[in-house]
Amino acid sequence: MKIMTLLLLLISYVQICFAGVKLEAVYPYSLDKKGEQVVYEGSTMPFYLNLTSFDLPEDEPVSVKVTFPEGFACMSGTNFQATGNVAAAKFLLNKNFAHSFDLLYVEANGKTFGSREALVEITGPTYSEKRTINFTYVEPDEKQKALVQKEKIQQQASASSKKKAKRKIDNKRFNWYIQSVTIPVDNQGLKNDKEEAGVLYVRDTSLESFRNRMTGGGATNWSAVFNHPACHLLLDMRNPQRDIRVLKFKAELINKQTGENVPGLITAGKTNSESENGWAGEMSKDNESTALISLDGKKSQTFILPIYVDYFTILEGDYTLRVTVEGNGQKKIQENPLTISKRHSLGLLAVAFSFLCLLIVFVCAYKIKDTIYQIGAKGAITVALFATIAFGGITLPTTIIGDFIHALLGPFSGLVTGLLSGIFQYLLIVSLLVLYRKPGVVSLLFFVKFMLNGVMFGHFTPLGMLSLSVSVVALEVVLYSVGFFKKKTLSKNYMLLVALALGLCDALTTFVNLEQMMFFYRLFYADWYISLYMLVNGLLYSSIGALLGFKTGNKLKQVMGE
Amino acid sequence: MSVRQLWEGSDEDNFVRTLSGSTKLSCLFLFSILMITVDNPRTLFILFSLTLISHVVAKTSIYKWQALAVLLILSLWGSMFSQALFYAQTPRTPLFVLISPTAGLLGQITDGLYIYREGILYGAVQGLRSASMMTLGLLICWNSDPRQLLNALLAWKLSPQVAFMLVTAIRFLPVLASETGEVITALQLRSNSQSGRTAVLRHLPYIAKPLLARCLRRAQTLALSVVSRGFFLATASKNRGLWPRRELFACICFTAFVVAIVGSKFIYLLSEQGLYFGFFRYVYDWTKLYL
Amino acid sequence: MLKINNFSYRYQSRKEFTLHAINLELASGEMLLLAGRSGCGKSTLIKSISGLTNDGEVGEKLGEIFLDDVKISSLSPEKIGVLVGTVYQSPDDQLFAMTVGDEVGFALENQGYDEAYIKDQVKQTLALVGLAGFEEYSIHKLSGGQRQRLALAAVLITKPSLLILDEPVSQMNPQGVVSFMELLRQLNEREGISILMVEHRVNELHTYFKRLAIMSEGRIIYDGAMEDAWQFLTGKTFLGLREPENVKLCRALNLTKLSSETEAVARSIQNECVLHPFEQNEATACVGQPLAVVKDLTFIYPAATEPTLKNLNFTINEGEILALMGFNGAGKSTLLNLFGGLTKVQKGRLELEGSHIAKALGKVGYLRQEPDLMLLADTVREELAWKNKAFSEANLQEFLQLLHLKEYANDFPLALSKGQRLRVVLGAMLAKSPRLLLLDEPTTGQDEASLHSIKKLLRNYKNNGGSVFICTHDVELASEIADRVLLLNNGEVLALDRTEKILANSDLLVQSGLVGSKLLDVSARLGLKACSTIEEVKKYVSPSTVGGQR
Repeated sequence: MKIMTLLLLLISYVQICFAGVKLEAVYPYSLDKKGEQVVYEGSTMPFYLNLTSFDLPEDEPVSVKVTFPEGFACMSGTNFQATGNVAAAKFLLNKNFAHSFDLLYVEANGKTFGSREALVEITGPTYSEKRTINFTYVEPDEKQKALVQKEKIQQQASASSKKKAKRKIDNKRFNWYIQSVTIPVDNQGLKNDKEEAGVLYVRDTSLESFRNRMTGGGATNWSAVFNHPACHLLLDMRNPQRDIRVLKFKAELINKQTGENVPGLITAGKTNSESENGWAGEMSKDNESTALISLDGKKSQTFILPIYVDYFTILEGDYTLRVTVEGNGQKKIQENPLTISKRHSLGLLAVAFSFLCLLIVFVCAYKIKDTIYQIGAKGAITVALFATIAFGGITLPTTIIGDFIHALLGPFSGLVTGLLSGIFQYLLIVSLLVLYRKPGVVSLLFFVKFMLNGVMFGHFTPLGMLSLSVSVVALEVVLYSVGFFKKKTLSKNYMLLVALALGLCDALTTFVNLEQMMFFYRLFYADWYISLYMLVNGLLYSSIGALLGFKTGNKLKQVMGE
Repeated sequence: MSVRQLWEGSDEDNFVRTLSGSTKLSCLFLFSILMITVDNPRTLFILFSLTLISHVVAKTSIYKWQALAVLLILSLWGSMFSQALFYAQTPRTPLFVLISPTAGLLGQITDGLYIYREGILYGAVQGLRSASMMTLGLLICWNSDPRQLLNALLAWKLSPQVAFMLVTAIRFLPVLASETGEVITALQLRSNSQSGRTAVLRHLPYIAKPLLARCLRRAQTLALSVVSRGFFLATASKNRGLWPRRELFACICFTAFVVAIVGSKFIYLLSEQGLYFGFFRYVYDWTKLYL
Repeated sequence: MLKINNFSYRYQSRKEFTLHAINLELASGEMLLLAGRSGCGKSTLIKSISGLTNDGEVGEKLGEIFLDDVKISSLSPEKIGVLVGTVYQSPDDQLFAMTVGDEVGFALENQGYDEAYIKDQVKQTLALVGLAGFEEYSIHKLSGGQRQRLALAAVLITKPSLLILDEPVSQMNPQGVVSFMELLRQLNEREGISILMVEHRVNELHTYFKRLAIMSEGRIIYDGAMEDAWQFLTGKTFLGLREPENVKLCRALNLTKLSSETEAVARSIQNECVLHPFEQNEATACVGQPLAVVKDLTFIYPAATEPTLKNLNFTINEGEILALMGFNGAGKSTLLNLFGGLTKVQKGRLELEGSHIAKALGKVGYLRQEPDLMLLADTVREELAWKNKAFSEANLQEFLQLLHLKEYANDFPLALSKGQRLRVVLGAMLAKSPRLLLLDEPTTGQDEASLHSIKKLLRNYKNNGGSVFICTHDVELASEIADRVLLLNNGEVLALDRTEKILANSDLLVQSGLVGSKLLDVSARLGLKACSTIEEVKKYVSPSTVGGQR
């Protein structure tokens, strides 16, 4: 019991011993706290005050007064109210535990150099303290002076041409500035000579989900994608007056013509979940990458800043990158040209797939002759005549009037031309397959049609060959996969499945073809447009065509004779 | 001059007409590779101009020039229109709003559909690729007998059976076209309305069956005829259509040139991906400037 | 040359044999006409001789076929192709190449001959069929007759000893037939080629063949001399053969001996019948109200220098069948197209029931030359009722009965036989009860039975007040059904009068590229007024009371 009483007494003693307020006052202040305690003439440097209160009997209001030497000018802030070289503020110290802190910016313009001091006085009902801060006040060298002067003139000439009358230079505005902005750099701030300056390659996220699944990464962590910097920016700051202060950095994409901020850049999200503003979270609202930087009083300081992009909204093109650094009512802006370029992994993948199909076609080309022997001369001629109809009924009109319809109906032209390339083509394919259910027949049909196009129109193009290969390989594989060639009888239900499979197959072919067009012909198509084509022209029309083809093929079977 | 005559070769002898089929096909293929390799608008325009000049050299008739012009305008306009809509680079200036982003479901899906001024120009430049290929294709089409091109394919070991199918397809193209016309006429005649008597489009869904049935009957007869005449005996030709040496040499040079162009572009693209080699600096510069 | 020994064949997909124990021999240099109606097995026999029954499927064979004493089962189709050249019905369907030279040289090319030899042989063969110098011609530029000759040349290049022709003249006009048959006769006589022709138009071909074989249901039911066949055919109308008009006349007059030869027929008539050449008055045709009026009609095609139709004036009356005849290119199709509304009237008047033809198109039915391309529906039932709301189920049943298509009501029209297909299209036209029916060569390639049905349908339609404007080369058909004939020559009306008057005028027929009826010769030989139909002859000749042939 005694021991317990002793312990309690000991604890309360310790508490009383440690209770109170701790003052921390630093001038000039820098974030890395490695300031040299040197203040240059003309510089603006922060004075940092922190009162740590704990275990006070009750909340205590205190008044703070800071007195700087003559010639120093304090700037009013959120808490501090300045009058010349004196600034005053009031704080309420929390009885339990709290940090009460603020920065006070002070412009040093005094003419008396050497060792100087500032006085901090705190008065409250129970707590009072005075502290003197010593620092060295020095005059900048000649070189530094010249630089500052030049910068002042340049900035004033460009920024305030309207205010020519106001010749007086505001020293407060020219104590730090942006020397240069370099983008892209790596996370070490090094510029890669192999990469073009001013071009930001944005990764293509179209295949993100697919890539993650393939690598076993599970569902895509979009938050991780968005919170990973697209590149880094090297910001070179000059601080001739050796200011120490915290500044806000902001990078925005600006439309070159309208000068308006456009979507694309974001600040890393604060949460890991999708918000109503997308994966980038709240920060994406402002279309800018922001960060806080701290000038630590050196004349020259570089910052490596991460740049985040919204992969869903950023567009390729030539922009102006506007970098703004601001703090304490000062704002410095530098604009640099920036080209945004996307790495089209989806397009590349589509092209790679096409080349693979082309390779397969080359390898299997010798089998075409086997197919001809299997279907006999009658089959071969039937295929040739079907190809003629396909050429005359699909290729010819789409070549001649396809562009016209496209010009007339724009993105919806596919709904018209698709009647031929979707419905009619698949009607021909499936009716031919009903008559000659052999592997290779579709390939033969496509091949003759392609050659016909080549010989009649001179359309022997690499893109044509790739498209042909994709169609042929995809169709043959799909038909083989659904067991079309082995099935004894073709029931209606089964053909419904085949039609759906062929529709999906055509959707894939449509997608690959459009991607190829975008890749080889450098064309643009909106995602919704590609989706529309895949859905309507690919899936819908082709499936309808396939079903009609089944019906037609069954009827034509009766015409075939022996 | 009829539409059919439009697609038939000219009878007038000219430089292009005297070239062998192999040369024509090779040039066509290599040129299309060139067209998809080049990005520089100025070079694209120069290449397009070359194809037009080749028509001048081949003394293309006025009628065919007119047809070519119509096709080119349609093709370029199509490309301009699509790119005006889908241009996805900045700066871009909307000229018209086709679908406002706030216009219901369509607006939501499309995120707004605009005509962008920069897209029109971009579409015109990119459209030069297909326009050039079409111009050259038509030059060859108008100055070659399909047989000449077919012989070239046979000389390159195209299966004679496939060649036969191809010839059959070409031979029956006008026949099937006139039969299609006949079916449409039949549909017009059997229509019960005055408008149906002149309509074409509304009858299209019904043309497949009679046309295909006719094909099957024809295939039956033709098959009997050609099998007796040794359809399956035919083997790949060994000495069909010799390639004149001069033309062969020219084609080899052109191939080397195209390979060089594609190679430099490839090297340049690799450098963009990080595979940079100092000794290719001139290639990078050249590619950036001209390709 | 050819010996078919007890040969039977069954398709894999069928239960029944298509050919039953066929026995047929053909000597070297002989010409044989093989006749039979559609579906009797003629085509299967040709395929069997050519060794082509294996393309696609393997059927069951019994017996053997020998070519120059070699079993054809031991030969490949290509080898047989060298010995036997086969020409099929439609020349357009058996020519695949783009130029004449390529088409003819195809067979030799496939056998690996060198180019110079092929060129030389192509030249010789083309000269043989009358197409010398046509090597570089596009096939599209050839006329129908020239294409048939080309098809012949394409098989003759391998110098076959046997030539098989499957209905080669079925789509030719009468003068084309004469010219083609003369060519065959020359080949037979000069080159010694044996010829086996399959054709049901015996009436036009009997003069070229001494021997006739008749097939029915896969069997050879007659094989003998042409002149003896008529007797055999008595009472066998089911065979669907088109007999010569002289033979039909013999039957109509009940003569003892049936013959196709004019002299023999005339002699029999003189011997067995009573002639009363001057007793009959000219019949006057019953004329209805004018239905269609053509006045000063002139038509010129856009690029042409001369009008295709020049100042035509005529009428078509209600309840009348008007036959339009003339050379190819005389303007017949253009005139029909104007009536059918496919071509717009440029100059002159073309009226139907008092209104401009363009406003009365619903009252016109137009059956074009290729009826197959007019079949659009999935079933016969749908085809007949196609876009015809007024057509009731009762009407449908009536039509199916009339067209002899009752059991095919739910069949796919395009899968029916040729005659049936034509009847379906004709039925679909008639189902709309047009005021005027336009027919363009409706009987091309049709056998006798089918022809009979069509004639019956047209007469029936006419008797119900319908009018028909029929374009045909078939003089016999015109003489049997037409009330009047309009002869068109070079876009002008050469003659327009009652059928018997026009068809009895040999000069007019020759001017119009037509071949007159043999009955004209018979009536001339008998000293009668020129008669082009059996009915007319019967007006001057009483049937025999001694004969017994029907």
